[in-house]
Amino acid sequence: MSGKDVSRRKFLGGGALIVGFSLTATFAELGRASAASGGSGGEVQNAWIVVQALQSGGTGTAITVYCPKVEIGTGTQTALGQIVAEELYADMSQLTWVQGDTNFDPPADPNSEGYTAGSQTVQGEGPTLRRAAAAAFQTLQQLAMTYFGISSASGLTAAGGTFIYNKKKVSYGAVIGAQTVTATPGSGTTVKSYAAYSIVGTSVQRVDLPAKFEGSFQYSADVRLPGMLYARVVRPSGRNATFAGLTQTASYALNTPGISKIFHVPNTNFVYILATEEYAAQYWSLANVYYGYALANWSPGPSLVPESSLLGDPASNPMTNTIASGGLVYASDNQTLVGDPAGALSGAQQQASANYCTPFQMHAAMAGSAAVANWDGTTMTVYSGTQGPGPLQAAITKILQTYDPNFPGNVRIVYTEQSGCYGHDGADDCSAEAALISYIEKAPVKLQWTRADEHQWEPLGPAMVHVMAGGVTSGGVVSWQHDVYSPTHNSRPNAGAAAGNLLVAQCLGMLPAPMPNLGPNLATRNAPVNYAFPNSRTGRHFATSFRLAAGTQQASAPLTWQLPRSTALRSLGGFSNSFANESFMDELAQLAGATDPIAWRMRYLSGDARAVAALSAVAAMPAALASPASGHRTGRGVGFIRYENNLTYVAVICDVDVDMNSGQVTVTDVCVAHDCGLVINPDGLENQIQGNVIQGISRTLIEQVTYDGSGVTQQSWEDNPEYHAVGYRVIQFNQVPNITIQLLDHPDQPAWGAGEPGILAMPGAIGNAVFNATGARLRVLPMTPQTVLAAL
Amino acid sequence: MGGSVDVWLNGSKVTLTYSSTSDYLLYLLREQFDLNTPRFGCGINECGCCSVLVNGTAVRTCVTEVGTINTGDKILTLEGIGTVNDPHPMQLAFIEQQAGQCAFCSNSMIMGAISFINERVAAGNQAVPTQAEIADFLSGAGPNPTTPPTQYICRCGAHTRIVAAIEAGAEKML
Repeated sequence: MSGKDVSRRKFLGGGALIVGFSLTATFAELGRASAASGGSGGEVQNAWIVVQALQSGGTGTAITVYCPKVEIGTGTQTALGQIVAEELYADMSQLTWVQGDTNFDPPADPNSEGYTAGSQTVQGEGPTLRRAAAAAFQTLQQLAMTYFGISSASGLTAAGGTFIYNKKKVSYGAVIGAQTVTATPGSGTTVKSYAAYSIVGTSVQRVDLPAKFEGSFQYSADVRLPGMLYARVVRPSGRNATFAGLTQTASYALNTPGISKIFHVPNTNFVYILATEEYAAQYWSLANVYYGYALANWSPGPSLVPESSLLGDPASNPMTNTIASGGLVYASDNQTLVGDPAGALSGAQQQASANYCTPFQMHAAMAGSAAVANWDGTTMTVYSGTQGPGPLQAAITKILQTYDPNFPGNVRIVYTEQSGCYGHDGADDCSAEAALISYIEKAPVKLQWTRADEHQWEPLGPAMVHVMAGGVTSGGVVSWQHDVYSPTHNSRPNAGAAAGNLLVAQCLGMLPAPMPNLGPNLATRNAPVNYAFPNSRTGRHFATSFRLAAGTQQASAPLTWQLPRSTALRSLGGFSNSFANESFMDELAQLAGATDPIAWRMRYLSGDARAVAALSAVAAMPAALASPASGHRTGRGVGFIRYENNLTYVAVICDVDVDMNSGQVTVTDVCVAHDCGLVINPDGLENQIQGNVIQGISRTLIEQVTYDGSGVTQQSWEDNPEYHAVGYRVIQFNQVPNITIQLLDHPDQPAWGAGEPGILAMPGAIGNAVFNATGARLRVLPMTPQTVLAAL
Repeated sequence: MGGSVDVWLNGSKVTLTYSSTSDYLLYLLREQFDLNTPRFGCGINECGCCSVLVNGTAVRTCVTEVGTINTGDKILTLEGIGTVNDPHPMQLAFIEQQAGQCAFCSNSMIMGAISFINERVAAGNQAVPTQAEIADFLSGAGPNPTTPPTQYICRCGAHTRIVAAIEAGAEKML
């Protein structure tokens, strides 16, 4: 069955224009180059624009976009809608979206759409949607010419979903009438010139926000089904713990009104609480996690590699040593090599070397992940906040078939927005757990992750180590070397072995996917610099998170974790790599006696006019540096990146205030010059940049996962004595600086992503500002009062 | 001990039933009245997602025992203060300032802000709060800080917009 047949079968009846096309998978995280070209429509169709009358056979215009890419709270639905409305000469209010419902996946390739991730949506999907909408409009134009009985489009205009000819108006729905017309974008499809844009490039308000501010918007936690039961998971005591029986407390808990059962799935490490009233389940989850009323006993298993050893001296750091020498590194090579960096370093007049480290950090989503699953005897429907409905569908199918070989394999994922995720958070794990519980209970089940579930069990952004070396001769860089050491940045679920990446799969005894092969866009995203140095090298060294079968990248059985599970966190390695690069760039400037960090960077970017323009723009933005209060010092630092080395440009200047007595760093002012090509929605773009700046400050100054031999020890947002909980702290409102943004619009150029680039430029700029203020170089994140005082 | 209490919920008289007076309001409101807000964010009194107004003052329903609710109390959730077509001044300000990204925290920010303004007015302070006062309030660092701080958390980084929206909303309210 072709995609076109799927579309005919599933779309509503009545007349319609159906334009089918393909939104290709986003595989940036899997090592492929980003897809920025417009789709031809020749691939398997997995997306459709459907134009109809408001009511079957009537008038008006209703445009529905069936889109496997999903809104994850960043405004892409609005931005993509502007692109569609622009080409269709329609109003934003005429658009509705069906997002991430696997019922609309083509059977030939159910996994075709991949993930909504990696700052890719507007740049990757925008051009494809633009061409599809343009194809729809050209077909509508033909129908309108027939309607008006004219042979030329001359004198035929369109606006707001209505054609006008000779002062007569007719809606798109009316020109379609009762026909079903199909079209695909092709070689004859022409898009509007940017000079004619009236919707793209304007600050259209977010289409989703009013309902969110009113309370009518349904997040995944708000899905309600008749007869729905409420679940909480009882977690193992550690990453390698195994089930050793339910406790007396669990028996006692069964007397609580509303509690249905506390169930251990036989021969697994999966235990859950089930209740008819949600509070009963939450009550026992709180008692189990925070108050020491354990519902299950566990055998602890082997300990994780200590956190304290990961951020220290590379000579004794397991993350910078090979498995053969007792460390964790299983694969190494040079990703880039220009000239003879080793020879140039040894021959340089001046040499510098330094090690930079970033700890494990969390997505720490605002909502505890929540999913509703409903096994009705035929179909498993899961309402999920996943970034990849198709891959999750495949993973849940495999997990349920592992649990029960007779599971018929009919899984439907209905994307339902959760809170912002910033990468691969707990949503997929929660969804798969809900599915298993629903399958066992043969009932609709809502699983709500608690704060402790999210903080302790979400897949984390990994710790990273950067070993930098550089040489300077006659005031110029002659050698640049950056060795990146990192655990994986991708453990997303998917078909095949990657189904085993989910927590519940591992509780069933499935093994995670093998550790990744050396690839260019995971740990080493933005590890290479755009600076034109005569000799340079980027080395990459991938560390394993679990014990491997000898000589392989496959987990040995039984699965034994050595580090906390890690995955994609906003920009993957880009945040930590850029911290090391931009800090070390200033270290070499100091060695060379260069005093202007803007000019120092421009000197090595002279071949890239847009890079120079971004730096020039930001240099002109800040006011004079504030005078410090008594006992304080102030400083200014620069950061520059080009996302993935060939996309969005970001140049920032950060001003900091350092309390020399307490060591507290406060970022007071941030100026950003941002060039992502064509700007679709200026206000939406500024919103994303502000988010990158603020989250970047939080990750630079505050955020650090702490873990012990069992796992993550943080269970709350703050140290909370009432709950005996240690907090994973994030930035507070009164720690947010003044932020000034300049958008460098290039309407004649492709639109690049803006969801991630800004955060890369922040940690280096802050570190450089602290150095400027105090003369102390902070090389380990986060820069806390304690580490700053120690460096002073 | 189970029981019930008659309250005004979003302007309607309703009966709230419970198994125990120590049951938390969050779950009762969501289950018995199919409300999307209050929202579950942390369940341990740290983020503000579960805020509702009880007699005009924000409470965190994830740790508010139903036994503390009295007959005739007026409970307002985000659904009850305004609609898209007829928004509360604070909701209107959030829309105008586009003060959210994922906006999961918007319930805490809007309900908390209304309570913040109400409390200032009750104390005789009719002035629109400064952005610094708003930021301190949202950081749990106001005049009467608590331990742990009763802060409001935004994870997406919409902080500057939220502060601007509360300032603008306060201007509309006062």
